[in-house]
Amino acid sequence: MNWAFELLGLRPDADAASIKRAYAQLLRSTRPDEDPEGFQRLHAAYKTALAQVNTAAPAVVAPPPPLGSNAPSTPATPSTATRPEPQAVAQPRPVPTINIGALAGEVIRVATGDSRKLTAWLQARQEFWSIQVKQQTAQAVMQRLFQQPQAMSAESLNALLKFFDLDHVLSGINPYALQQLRRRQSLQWELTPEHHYELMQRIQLRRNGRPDQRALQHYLALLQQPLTWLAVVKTVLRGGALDRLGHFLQALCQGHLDDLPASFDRRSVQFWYKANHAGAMSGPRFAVNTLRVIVIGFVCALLASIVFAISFSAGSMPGKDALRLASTFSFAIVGGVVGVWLMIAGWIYLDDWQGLPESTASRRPWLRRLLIPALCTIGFGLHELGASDYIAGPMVFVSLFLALRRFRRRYAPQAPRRALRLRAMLPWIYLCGIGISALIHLQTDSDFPVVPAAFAVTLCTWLADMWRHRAHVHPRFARS
Amino acid sequence: MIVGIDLGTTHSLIGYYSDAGPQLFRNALGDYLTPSVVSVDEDGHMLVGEAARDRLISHPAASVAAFKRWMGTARETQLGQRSFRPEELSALVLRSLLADAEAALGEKVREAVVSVPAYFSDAQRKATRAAGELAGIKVERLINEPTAAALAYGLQERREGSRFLVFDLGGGTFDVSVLEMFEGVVEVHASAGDNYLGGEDFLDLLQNSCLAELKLHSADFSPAERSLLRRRLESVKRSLSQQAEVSVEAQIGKHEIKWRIDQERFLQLADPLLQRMRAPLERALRDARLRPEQLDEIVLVGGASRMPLVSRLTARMFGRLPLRHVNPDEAIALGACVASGLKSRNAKLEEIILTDVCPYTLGVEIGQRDAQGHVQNGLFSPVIQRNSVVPVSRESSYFPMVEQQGRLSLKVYQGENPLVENNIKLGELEIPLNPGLSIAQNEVVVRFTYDINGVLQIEATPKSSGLRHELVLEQNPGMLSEAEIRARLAALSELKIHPRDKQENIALLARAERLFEEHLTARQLLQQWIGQFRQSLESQDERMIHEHRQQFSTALDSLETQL
Repeated sequence: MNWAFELLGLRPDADAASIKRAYAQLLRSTRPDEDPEGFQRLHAAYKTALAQVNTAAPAVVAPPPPLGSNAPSTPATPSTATRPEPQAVAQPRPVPTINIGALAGEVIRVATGDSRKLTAWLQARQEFWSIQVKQQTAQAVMQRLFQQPQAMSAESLNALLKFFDLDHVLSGINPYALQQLRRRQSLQWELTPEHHYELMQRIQLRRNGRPDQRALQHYLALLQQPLTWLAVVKTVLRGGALDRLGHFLQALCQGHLDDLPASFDRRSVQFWYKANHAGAMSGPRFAVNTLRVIVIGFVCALLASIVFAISFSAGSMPGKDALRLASTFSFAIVGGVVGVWLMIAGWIYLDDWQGLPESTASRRPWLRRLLIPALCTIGFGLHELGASDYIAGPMVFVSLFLALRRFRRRYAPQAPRRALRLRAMLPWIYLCGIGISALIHLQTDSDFPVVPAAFAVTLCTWLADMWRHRAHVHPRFARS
Repeated sequence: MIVGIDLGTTHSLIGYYSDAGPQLFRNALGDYLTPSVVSVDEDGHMLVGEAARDRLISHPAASVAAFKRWMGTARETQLGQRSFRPEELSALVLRSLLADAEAALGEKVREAVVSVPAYFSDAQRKATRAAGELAGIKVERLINEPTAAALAYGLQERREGSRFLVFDLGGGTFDVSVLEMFEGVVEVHASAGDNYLGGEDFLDLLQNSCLAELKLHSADFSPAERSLLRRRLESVKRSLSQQAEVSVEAQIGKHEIKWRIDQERFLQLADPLLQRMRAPLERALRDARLRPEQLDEIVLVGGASRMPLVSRLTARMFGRLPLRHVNPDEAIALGACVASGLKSRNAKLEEIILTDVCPYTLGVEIGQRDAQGHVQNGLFSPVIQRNSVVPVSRESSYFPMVEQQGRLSLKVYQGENPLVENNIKLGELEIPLNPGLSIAQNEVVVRFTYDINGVLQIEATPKSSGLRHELVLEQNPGMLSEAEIRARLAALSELKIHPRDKQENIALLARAERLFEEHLTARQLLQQWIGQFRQSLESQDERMIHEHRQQFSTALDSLETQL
């Protein structure tokens, strides 16, 4: 801070009057229109020095009139006191006892009511003509709202912000936090039973053109009660119910799950949200889809066993054998369907995990980085050691496709992710390709070294990807 | 020679800094105040001032007033054969003012300091400069109106070390400034305001309430009748400052207007406007980091501040009555004269140095990502905060939103809202980034420099490359380009303007024509008088005209008092 006093040519213990005098003197040689940079330095020094004097000796600044006391406040500046007061109104009115906390409580109470009456009520309040009372109340109101969001419509909050002049960029309120408060409060407001109609209008929850009150109650009950397996099974098995619930949840909070009031069960909300979230593989999504696959498998098995039963009962096979054959076949179908699903899920999980941007924080970044080279090296090693191509081949090819996908996905992270449906198809295409090429390889006995070639391509792709993201591996590589 | 000009919504004034202090010039009719009204007569001659204001009633289609409110927009007004932009209309007023100054000084005026509302935006300021160029002068400096008023007031009072608030309610704009004077320094701490709040809005209230109570519609009246009604209500508004109750009785067109209003009701009507004044007052004090009791004075300027409800408002907010040692109509013009004296380095004024503030926040659009990864775009990040002392230069750092971002688009905004969609966009700058670097390494340093004339310069430098990118602010859609100004200047100089020495006669005729519209019973008499006066004008006998003019004027005076 001493630089300021030095620039002004003063000792660090100079008082406000001498700072001003020095500033005024120096200003003659450093005019704002002739020496803009010099002026900026001078002005900064002046402000810094003044601020320091004011904080060091608070006695220079008159204390604010004591709130909550009945003593009339007297004007603090000496220049006003020595002058005759202009007219009768100039007599400072006695400051009535104002309990800021109570006033803030009252403001919040009115604000949670009808938004149209709010502005008029605020403008009519006598207390708010005092600038200090108004500022202190504004502070108290916002503090309380941030601590405990109320059921308040966005219009009411906007009216509050406008009246207390907090709706500007220098108000000191983080606009992001304010936006969040606005969302939370209006969500809470919409969720009170008397505003359900507005809620249904907003999220367009209707059946036959009319707001669907029953569906709303059902969804809210699902989301507010603790998660039970029975509810999950019921929702999953009812066609489309899971999708509709997902749409409802998305429309309700636009992905901001934290905005939901405390009456919602966090676990339920997380579960249903993730189960519907197409962007990534997650526990709930896996559970829900596994449930579906098992059911599909059982239905298929049941149908197959009926067909078996009919066809074999017509034939000559003994009933016992037919039954055994049918049950084995059914189990094979169920197992096959579930197995395929597990492969798809595993592939999606691996693909998502490998496709994460390099900057994503994780506990073991090296595991993610080195999975591909490790996998393909093991496959290649097995191949070289003379293991069957049916073991080595898939390992190398899975790592090859993982590497290609990883490079492609991380090359342009801004590009929208493809829908899950198409992504789920891709491993099948790859697997078919692997199978066909492996078959051709085995059948024709050609000399082309498929596995070593795939191994080389995988490593190259992986290295190219790592080179692109080298800045994150170690800052030393960051120089362009 | 450099002059000071107050280019107001309803009235304009001109003056200069003489050795004896600030001095205003009288116009051809002997008044300091020239109404900011432009009219065109039947032969295509342009009229400015009192005559034009009278013609608002007799020829409403060929006259226009309150065009300061449209400054900074591309709105065009059709007058006679031509349409005019607000800059051109202001230029015509400026020309008439300059003619008055040149007549008094006997020399050509080349430069001027023009006052603008403190809360005028960049576009509005540029339009005011363009108006000066169209009037053939160089606008050396734009001075904020409250600052000008404070200069005039401070010099007059010579009170050292005082802080005061200037409350400037003009015809169309409302400004608040908090200033401090010490040791020959006039320092503006903060300015705030409302560009669309002024005396005219109070008049609108009266008009709407009157028509609503009489169950009439604005569409029931012809333009001439409307301006007649407005003029009547204007005098009602003025009388309400002194009387508790005012009534108006008049026959306008085929409607009989019989209406009364008391102060209580007017206060009730004006409440929404008074409420709108609270926020700028509070904001100015807050930005100046002062408490109401730390202010030494409250100075009211601007014609509309004469209304008692204005002083009641300030008394209610600050707990004391404002001081009004200055003439509210002339204070700003006098201050502009002082500023012109400062500009020309008048020896007597050498001791005063003025520092002003930038009234708006300037910044860029940003996005923000929270812990859950939700991104919110369209947030406004201030670089220069409002009420920073100018000249000011500030730096701020920004980062790309995502990995491997190839470029950063820097959108520059002016305004106070936390969301950019509610602010004014000034321009855009694209900065190429190195996609190979991480987010933290792709830092871009943005520097905003706002100079004393309100010109904003933006520089952006990516730290990795060190290459500097500068922003040339794009042409605002409502603004004139250099070439357009030149073309319009040529077109304007072709306009016919009545010579200054004929102004008095023209004003008299315009007044008689207005009375003809207002005075149903004396129409024949007036027609006769007008005919006679026109005849003596045609005779070109100066002495006879002079005599006749005086007779005519007294006759009109007596008619007006009857009304």
